[in-house]
Amino acid sequence: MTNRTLPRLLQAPAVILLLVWMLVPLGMTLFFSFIRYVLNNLRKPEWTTPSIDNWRGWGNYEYVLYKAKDFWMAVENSLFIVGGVITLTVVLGLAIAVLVNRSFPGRGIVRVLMISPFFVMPAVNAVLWINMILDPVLGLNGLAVEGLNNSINSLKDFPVLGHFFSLWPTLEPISFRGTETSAIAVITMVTWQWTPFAVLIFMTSLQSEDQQQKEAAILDGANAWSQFRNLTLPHLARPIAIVVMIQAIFHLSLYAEIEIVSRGNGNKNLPYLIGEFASNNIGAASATGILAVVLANIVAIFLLRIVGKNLMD
Amino acid sequence: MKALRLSALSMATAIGFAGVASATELTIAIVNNGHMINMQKVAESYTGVTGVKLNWVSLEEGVLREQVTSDTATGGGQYDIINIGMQEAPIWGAAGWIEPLSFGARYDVDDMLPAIRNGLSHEGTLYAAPFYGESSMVMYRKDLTDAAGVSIANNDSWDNIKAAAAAIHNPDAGVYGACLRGKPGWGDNMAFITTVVNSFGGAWFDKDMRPTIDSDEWKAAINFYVDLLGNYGPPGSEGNSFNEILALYNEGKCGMWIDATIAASFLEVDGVAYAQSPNAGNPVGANWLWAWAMAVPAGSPNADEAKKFIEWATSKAYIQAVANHKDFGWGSVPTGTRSSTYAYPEFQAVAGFAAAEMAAIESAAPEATDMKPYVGVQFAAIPEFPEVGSAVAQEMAAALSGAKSVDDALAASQAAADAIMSEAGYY
Amino acid sequence: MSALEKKSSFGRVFWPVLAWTAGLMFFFPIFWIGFTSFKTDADAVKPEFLFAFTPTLENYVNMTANYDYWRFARNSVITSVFATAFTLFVGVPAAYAMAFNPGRHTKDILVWMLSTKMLPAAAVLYPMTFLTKNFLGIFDTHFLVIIVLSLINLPIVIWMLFTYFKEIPKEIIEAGKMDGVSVWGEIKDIVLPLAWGGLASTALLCFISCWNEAYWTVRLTTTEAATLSKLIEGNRAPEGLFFGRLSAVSTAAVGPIVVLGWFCQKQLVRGLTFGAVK
Repeated sequence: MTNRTLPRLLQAPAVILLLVWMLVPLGMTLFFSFIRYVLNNLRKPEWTTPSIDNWRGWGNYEYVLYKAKDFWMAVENSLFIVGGVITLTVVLGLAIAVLVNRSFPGRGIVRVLMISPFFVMPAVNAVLWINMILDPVLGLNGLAVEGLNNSINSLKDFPVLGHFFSLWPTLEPISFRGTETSAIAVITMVTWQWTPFAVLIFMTSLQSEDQQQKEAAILDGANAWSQFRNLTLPHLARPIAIVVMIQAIFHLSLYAEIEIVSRGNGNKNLPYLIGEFASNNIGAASATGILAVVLANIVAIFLLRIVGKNLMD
Repeated sequence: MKALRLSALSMATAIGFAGVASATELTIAIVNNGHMINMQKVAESYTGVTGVKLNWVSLEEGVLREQVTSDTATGGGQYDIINIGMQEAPIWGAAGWIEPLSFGARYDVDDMLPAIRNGLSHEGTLYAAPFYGESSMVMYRKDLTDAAGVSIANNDSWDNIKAAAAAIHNPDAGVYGACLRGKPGWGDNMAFITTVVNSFGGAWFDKDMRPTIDSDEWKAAINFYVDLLGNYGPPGSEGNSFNEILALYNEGKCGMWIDATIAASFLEVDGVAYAQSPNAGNPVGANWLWAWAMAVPAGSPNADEAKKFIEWATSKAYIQAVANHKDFGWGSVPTGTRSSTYAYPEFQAVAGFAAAEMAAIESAAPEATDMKPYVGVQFAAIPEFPEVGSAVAQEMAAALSGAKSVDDALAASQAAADAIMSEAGYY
Repeated sequence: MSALEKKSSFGRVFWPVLAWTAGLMFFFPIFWIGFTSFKTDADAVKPEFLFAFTPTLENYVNMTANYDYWRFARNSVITSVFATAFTLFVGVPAAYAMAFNPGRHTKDILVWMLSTKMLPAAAVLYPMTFLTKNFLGIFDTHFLVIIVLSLINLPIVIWMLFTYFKEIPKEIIEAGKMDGVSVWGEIKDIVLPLAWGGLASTALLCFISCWNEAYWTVRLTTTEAATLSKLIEGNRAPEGLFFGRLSAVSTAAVGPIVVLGWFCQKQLVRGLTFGAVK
């Protein structure tokens, strides 16, 4: 029994702090989710104080799930954005980590350039991408398409060849703030920001890869792909698990990017929906918050099933 | 006493007061628009005279609203002065979140434009003092309309506006017929869309405060809006609001822009002409009314000093102070609050839009009428409106980008608004 | 080494070029912010000044003169440094205990810790404001920001440290135990040196996450403890185009941490040297 005491003592501060941090806000949220609580209501002023007298049972949950709009859309978007970002960052991260793990001139500089996006603040990231890069008229996206159209137009005047180019349609720049594209825009900017994180973690791990084993494989005539598949990938199982878990946690709570790209048009996720309710209806916001916690835990359990073995061994 | 205080504020007796109130600090939350930024500089002289130290906290509009709401709703105390809009002022006043304001005779409250003053009052009491005000109007490139042989008149018909937009629309040359707001947000696309709906004879709610978004008027208005902006607007309109369109306009990419009158003072393109907002038979509510105002939260420990500062910052003397400031001038004075501002010949000389702006503000009608039971032109001054407005705003953006049909978007909007209003206990 | 060096001449050119292209592409947006920060607000939105423009320091002058940049920057440094230190202080012993003396419930505790990160911030904004302002009276203090940042990052830090510690072969620890090394000695002399790379990446990740946190730092402060994220929020305006100014503020907010990251990069990728031992 005594040899359990010390580990417990060492864990105690972290556990207690997190317990308080979780229980106090979560407890309040849980309470609010079962009462009528609005910030301001001119007809029912009694609803503006969080009191047990305004008990509502499951009313807020019913409202969120069945009457108010967008709950399921927000769930779908939350999962879509998290899934999209994780897939892209892991694939890109693996490719780039392997790429910059070779030695080549200026490797240090490339690594530095590579990891920089991870240090950018989310709000800056979103404003930068949506206004200066993806804007269909004044952003680089619009300017590039305009330039392309202009050069095609000028080619149309060439004899013979010009006829061929005149068949070319005028390109329309894609608007990344539209209903169908805004989630893609969010995935793009978050992937840009978080791929360096994956690269960093994978790179750290690649350093410790067994070079002798690798050389042996090369001597056995294994090609690059089978080396990667059979040696590198298994070696990276744990870092991949970390990257997936941590990103899932972070991206389930994306907010600034959603707000800045299109204010929830087409990309509304659960945190954004909660923010919308919270403009006045705290009861509904709290109920959505509790539902979001449930969803996040389902995602976590699901992920642990898939990657947990790698983390816990 | 009052006279003494006022003379101090007008900076005539600066010396006598310099040492008195030196301990006071005011924390002021502002939205980071041009006029507010200028105020930070102009107010240095206020600190110089009164000794009141000013701490500015500037925030993006949505974040500001969130933080000010959470502070005010939990009893206040963080801010002495807050920047709020016309949507909040009467509601917050009614809820007792902000203090009533009354100023001395020198302030000349009757000089304030009546529409603005009404919009910031609840049951006749002023709760927030306007810092600058705006309505909406048509701004267009006269060179293009002349070349195309079309014209735009004051209070034109929407059909004529569409015809003009079609005539000047030339995307190959990089000119789009009409640039209008499409970015979702109750203060963004819905501000413009509501004025269109109003001008088609529609409204947000009927006399029982039930939403009427499925009405024929809404249907006609939204079909018209989607048609006009979809066919003659720039690509990506569903992401454009004031800032984005301002950039486009100054690039010469917009033939016509219907937006806040404040835009006129930012326009750099030559040949701008102005016209009062168009309508489809109902001119009442065809142009919006908005003001950024300053209020004192009920929990402020420095309420008296805060009110003194507001009295100064929204006074005639402030307008003069901006005009005479070395970094600014008559072109930078905050407009849309006082009729006396428009009477200065120096101001008229630099502001070609002055007459059009004043006419637009004066014709705006925020009061409740037989047609609509709520206060506000492009919004309803009820606590639930931001929620209703943003829900509908997203549907309208979806209709504009073609992801939904207009009918589907309107049906979804009606259902969402109905849910919010019945949830709030209106019926 | 011979086998590894045997590359085709195509490969010798292709892979470095590809790596450089990827690096430059990822860096380009950051370069673009820095580039734009030297344009005036008016020029920043004009395609004709995309590359050719008159550079100006106006935005930086304005930022330091009118926006009190240094106060925000100082607050960011203070809160991020202390929050990172505190998080590691609490997190290292916990992760150590979990990795080397796992109990029956260690797995559950770890999962539960992560789940504390899942409560959406927007849902608890009002309770938190009320609690910290009216009840505890610590609203807008460095103390509050540091505590909140620590709590936000603690689960992630423990997870990362836990996995890094797991990489350390148990035999080394056992050997230390045999020699009668104390727990503190074990952490200090065996675990930390071995997991140095992992510890450094964890600390850096924690620091970045603190520096970039923009929900609570904006909403639980007014002036005293406001960090750079709040300065950024203050420069996004609804009426007016301030890309030049915003870029300058962003560059100045992002710059320090990018530079810090650059300096730490070598340290980071040196990584876990004992992995091959396993």
